[in-house]
Amino acid sequence: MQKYSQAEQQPVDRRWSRLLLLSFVISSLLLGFACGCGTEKPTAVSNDPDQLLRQMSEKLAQARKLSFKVDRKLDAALVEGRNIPENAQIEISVSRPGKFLAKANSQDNVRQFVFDGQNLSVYDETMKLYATVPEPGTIDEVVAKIDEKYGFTPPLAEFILSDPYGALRPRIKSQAYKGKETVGGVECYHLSLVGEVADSELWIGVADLLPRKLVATFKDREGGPQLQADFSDWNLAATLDDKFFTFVAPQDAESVEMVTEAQMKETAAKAAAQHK
Amino acid sequence: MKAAISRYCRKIGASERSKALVRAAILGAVLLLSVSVARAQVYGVAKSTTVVRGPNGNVAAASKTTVVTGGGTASKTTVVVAGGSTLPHGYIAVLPGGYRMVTVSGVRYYTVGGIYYRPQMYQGHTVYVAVRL
Repeated sequence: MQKYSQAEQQPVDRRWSRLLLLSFVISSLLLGFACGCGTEKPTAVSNDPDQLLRQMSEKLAQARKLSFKVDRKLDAALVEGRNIPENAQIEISVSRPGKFLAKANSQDNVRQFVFDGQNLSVYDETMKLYATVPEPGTIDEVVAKIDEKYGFTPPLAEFILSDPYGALRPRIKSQAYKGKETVGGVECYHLSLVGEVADSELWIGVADLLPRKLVATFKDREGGPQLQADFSDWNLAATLDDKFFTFVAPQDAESVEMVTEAQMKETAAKAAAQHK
Repeated sequence: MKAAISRYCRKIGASERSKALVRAAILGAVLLLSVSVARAQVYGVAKSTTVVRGPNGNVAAASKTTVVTGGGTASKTTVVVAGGSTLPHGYIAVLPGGYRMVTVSGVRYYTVGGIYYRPQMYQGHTVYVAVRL
């Protein structure tokens, strides 16, 4: 056994005690941090609207399988082909990265948008008509493709993309934090987002950082019509198997063509030429 | 042509080719980014400006109005704006009351007032185009 003199032993002891102290401090800090993360307290640290928007986006993006409901009210000027306001109850289910189902139930009809990672189907349940187009890819890719090719997106698609912040932020010219307000019994951060096309008021839950309410005023239209969306029933750990996102046409439903923007423009040009 | 291509290939060195590839990749990334950001929809509502052409050739920019009428701006040629785009003459967004469904050669049509309509899906909605049977 090796022996140390007293002079040699003292600095070694001091070093060990310093190391022990340091490890104690680090462990305490880590423990404190871990305890903080375990609670349901909000992670929002400031009233910075950009930070809150970012945190909401991260919360949504982290959920692999989620579902939520939206009560959407559209002013008449925003309702396609009709001149009456529309109230719709929309149920949205998402399985990242490549599946979603949105079912919109309004006073006029019931429609479904189903994407299984390979095909996008739009089903008009009221008229029993559906159209399916092959669009393999992720949710982000299909939303961008159908927007460009077919001129629409699923309802409130911004909130199901992999980066909602990335979809919303480029539209925002200025933003402000308006304080805390209670929406549907939930304490929320109220953000005001000024955009080029629409100005939006967004309420984000203080406790969960999820969107609770959205009111968008479309400035590019006469009278500034509004869209109001009330979000509810958030489930960020939904049980959704692949079958849920597989569209199976009912026997009495008929397949119809999904017309592209380009096709419709061509038809419009021909019609205009014939009527000259 | 082949000779010209091989001459060109010999001319540019490996470093130039890699620079060109990097430039192409950057351009591609920028284009992809602009496509993903510049969506035509805001919360599912189309924001594109629609050009409406009237029967006398006059043109008006309809910035997302549901129904474009009056002032000679539009008539039967283009009347209804659905989701940001005009529906051409012959298309309707909603079937008139009293329609009935018929099946001709296994294809579904709707008829009302002697006019037959074939359903299609456009901008996520069912629209109907008048057809001759």
